Amino acid sequence: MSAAARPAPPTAARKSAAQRQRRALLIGLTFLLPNILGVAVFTVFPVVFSLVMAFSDWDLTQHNMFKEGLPKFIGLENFVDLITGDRFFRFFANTLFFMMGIPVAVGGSLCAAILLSKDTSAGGGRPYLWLLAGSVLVVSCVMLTASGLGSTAMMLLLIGTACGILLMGVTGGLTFYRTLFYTPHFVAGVATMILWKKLYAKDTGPVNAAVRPVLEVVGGVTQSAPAVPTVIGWAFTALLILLFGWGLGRLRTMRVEGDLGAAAGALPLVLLFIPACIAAIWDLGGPLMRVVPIGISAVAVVQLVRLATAQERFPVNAPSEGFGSALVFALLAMVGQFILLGFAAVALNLAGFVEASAAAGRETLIEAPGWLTNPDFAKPALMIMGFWAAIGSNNMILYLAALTNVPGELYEAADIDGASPMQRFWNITWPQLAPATFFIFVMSTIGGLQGGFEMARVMTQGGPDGATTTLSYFIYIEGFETGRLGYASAVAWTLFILVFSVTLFNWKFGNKYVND
Amino acid sequence: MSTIDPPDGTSPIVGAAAMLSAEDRRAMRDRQRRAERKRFFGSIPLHLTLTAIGFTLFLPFLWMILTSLKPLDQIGADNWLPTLSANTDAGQFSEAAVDKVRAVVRAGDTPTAAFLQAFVDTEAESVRPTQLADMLNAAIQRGEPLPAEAYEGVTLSQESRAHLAAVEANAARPIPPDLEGPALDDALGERSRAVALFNASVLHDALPELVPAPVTARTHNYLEVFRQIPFARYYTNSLFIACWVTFLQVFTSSLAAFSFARLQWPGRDKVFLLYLSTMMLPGLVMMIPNYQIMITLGLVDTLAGLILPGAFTAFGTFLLRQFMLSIPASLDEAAEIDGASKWRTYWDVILPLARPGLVTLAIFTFMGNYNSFFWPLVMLKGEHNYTLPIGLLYFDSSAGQETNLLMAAVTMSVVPMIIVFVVMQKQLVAGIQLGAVKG
Repeated sequence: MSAAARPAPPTAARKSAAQRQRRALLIGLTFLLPNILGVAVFTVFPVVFSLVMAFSDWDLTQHNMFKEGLPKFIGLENFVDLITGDRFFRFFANTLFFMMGIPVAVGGSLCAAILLSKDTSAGGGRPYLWLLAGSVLVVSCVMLTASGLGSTAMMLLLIGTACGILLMGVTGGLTFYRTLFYTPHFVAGVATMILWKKLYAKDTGPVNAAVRPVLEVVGGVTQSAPAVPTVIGWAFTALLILLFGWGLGRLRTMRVEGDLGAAAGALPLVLLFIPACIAAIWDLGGPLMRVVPIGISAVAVVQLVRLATAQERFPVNAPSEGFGSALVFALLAMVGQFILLGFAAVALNLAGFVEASAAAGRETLIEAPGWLTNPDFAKPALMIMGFWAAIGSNNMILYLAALTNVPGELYEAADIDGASPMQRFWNITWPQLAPATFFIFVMSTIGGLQGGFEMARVMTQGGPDGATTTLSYFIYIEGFETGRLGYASAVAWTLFILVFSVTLFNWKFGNKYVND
Repeated sequence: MSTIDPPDGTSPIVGAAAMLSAEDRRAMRDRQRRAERKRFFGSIPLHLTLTAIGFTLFLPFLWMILTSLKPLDQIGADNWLPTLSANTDAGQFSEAAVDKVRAVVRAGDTPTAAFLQAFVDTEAESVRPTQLADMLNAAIQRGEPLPAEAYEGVTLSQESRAHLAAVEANAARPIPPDLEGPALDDALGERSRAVALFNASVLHDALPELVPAPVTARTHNYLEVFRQIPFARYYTNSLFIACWVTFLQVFTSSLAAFSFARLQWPGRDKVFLLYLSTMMLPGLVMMIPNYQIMITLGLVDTLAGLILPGAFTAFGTFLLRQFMLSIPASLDEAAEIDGASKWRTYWDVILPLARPGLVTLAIFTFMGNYNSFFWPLVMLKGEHNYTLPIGLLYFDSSAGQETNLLMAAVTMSVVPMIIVFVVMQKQLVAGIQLGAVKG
């Protein structure tokens, strides 16, 4: 543009060059115009505008753009409200709780991808197909009869479905199974959420129909032998402490072998201790809130001593080295600890619960829960649904693609060295998948922080008692139901800052991890 | 994948084997067969695991389809399958049929019609199909078989006679007095069910055009959905929005991508960086001001208000730019030498070559908008503009306990997507691997 304002260039050649450039700019912008106009109006302007709104008391019921009653500028009041009130942090905690499902879901996708990447083409063994289907038929008949499931027709239907899947899987191989796994993810939306809402229905849902006989058995066993659940509960506790030890040991090994920098180790280390802290703060009933922290401290001391006495074999290059893999280990160990903690708490409290139930003279000792109406069950219920939709998601496809790119020579070399399947996985597959894992975790974290809206709106209305309200649903409620657009914008921007800093953090440390 | 040769002997290996002695050939075949067998049996645990996962993932869909075929009174039964039900429901009557039934009953010409007068309200101004179904059900579920005079002169069908035999057999075999609890409930339930089936079957025999026969699978649940809510309208709206957004998105994005990838102009890369940075902005932040914009433009509760904000994205431009960069530059130069304008180059050279990228973007945009929930939920107020997800959401609250109808609606919205997926899955998988994410 500036070229036009200048005095005419001395030579014709230069003039034509400038003209050509202007023409190129014009053409380039013309092609860009329809899209850039739309992006400017519906993306850039709203974003700037919402930043303005976040500092105002804009209320849908009182103000309307370019109409009377202009909103006032109130400075940081919205943000102060948000930080001093307890709702934001409560719903942020809910969001984080839901995000703990991410490592489990990604693990599931990885397992599915690994299973699918094995050569499933069975060749021309047609006679064996029928043998296989027949044996499944017999085995599942026996199993279903033993479990006392429903009428004969339904039994046959279920078995028939299983055999059909098996037969189509054997003939169709990878493609068929991949289609089957991916379908729940592909169709996930309001429709499947309504479906799951009905599956979870307290009295008429099939989930509870399947759970009830199990609870009956558990209740009966607990009543006649209260020691059984207690022993199981302590076994879970022991497993929890072992898992913590495994995670910490892994970090220590990485440190000793020079794969983990001091700065990079900090966050994973903190993550490992979170379940123990929660166990110490929350009243989980019984001695659990003392035993877990004590056990974990003991393990930590042992590991610390071993770290202090070990000789560092290789020097650590950078303080940020090894962040990615340490973080993934720590995440896995943390989520595993939480799951075990939950099981342990349930098992240890079971005897008392059943006793009280029997004393009250209830006919069923353990009632099947209202999955979406009980605050203790709503979050896990939604996570199970999310897991159903997430196993065969894009993550599985990405892992499948990454798995086919792992050079076969690596496995051959490992076979020659006599590596066990676990060693093959941890030393070849896992490091080779690092870029895919990193990408998946970054995308899942971004999605997880902003997620949970549909589930909350369709299935639980954010309830019971706010137990399933995530930040995105909070924004919706504040912005569109109570109409406080200013406050909702402030929440949205806070969420954006969170997402942005997590992403930035991931790129800073993660790129290193991927390149290693 | 499989390297096993076809048995017709056309393969070169079998051809080579023909030169060997018969014994060698047999040994070779044996070895081949043994390897095949070993491979097959070795893969069984893998297949069983995969089947177990697939089966578990499929179970909700199975329940969905079976429940959509159930009558209302079998919702929540332990048996997933719909079973023969005596009750009629509203979906089996049209508005015209309702008046016809009432006219026949009011006339009371036949013994059955006269009998039904005790149950069916013939005086009321108007009766809805639901009410008529309830009235007939009251007659069917009256607890004892229809008296013989109520079906005088009617030839009983084979089904009716079978039901009658069952009722008589039950009557001849009294319930043991020591039976109690669930077992007693079961026995009583079975008896009243047999009676109800007989009643329904006889009513159908007597008034075959007016009273439906007992059925197992209620396919008319699907029709009932269309009667209760403008389901076709929801479909059309969803498709309309998804098609328009997809068209606009693919068209404008490909133009912009062409500009970024194939044209040289000053400041291009800076503008592109700006574009990239808008991809970082979270959708939630934009929703609130966009709503204000739509209020100002008067586009709230219109389909245009749903199409416009979704139609222009930096993501599509980014995806297509990456794709167009992989097309060799010599093609544009050749086009330029031939005197083609930039538009011709775009339309005739680059677009056809970028087809896989366009298809990927189109699929993701289409599915994302077909399924989109937040924005339509905020924008739509009137039922005539509802998209499929919004319609389903409100049907969920209005259908209440009618899980069978709800599942019919859910099935109808899920099954087309499954079909689309199965047809398109090759492109989809390729698209995901291209680095795209579900949009």
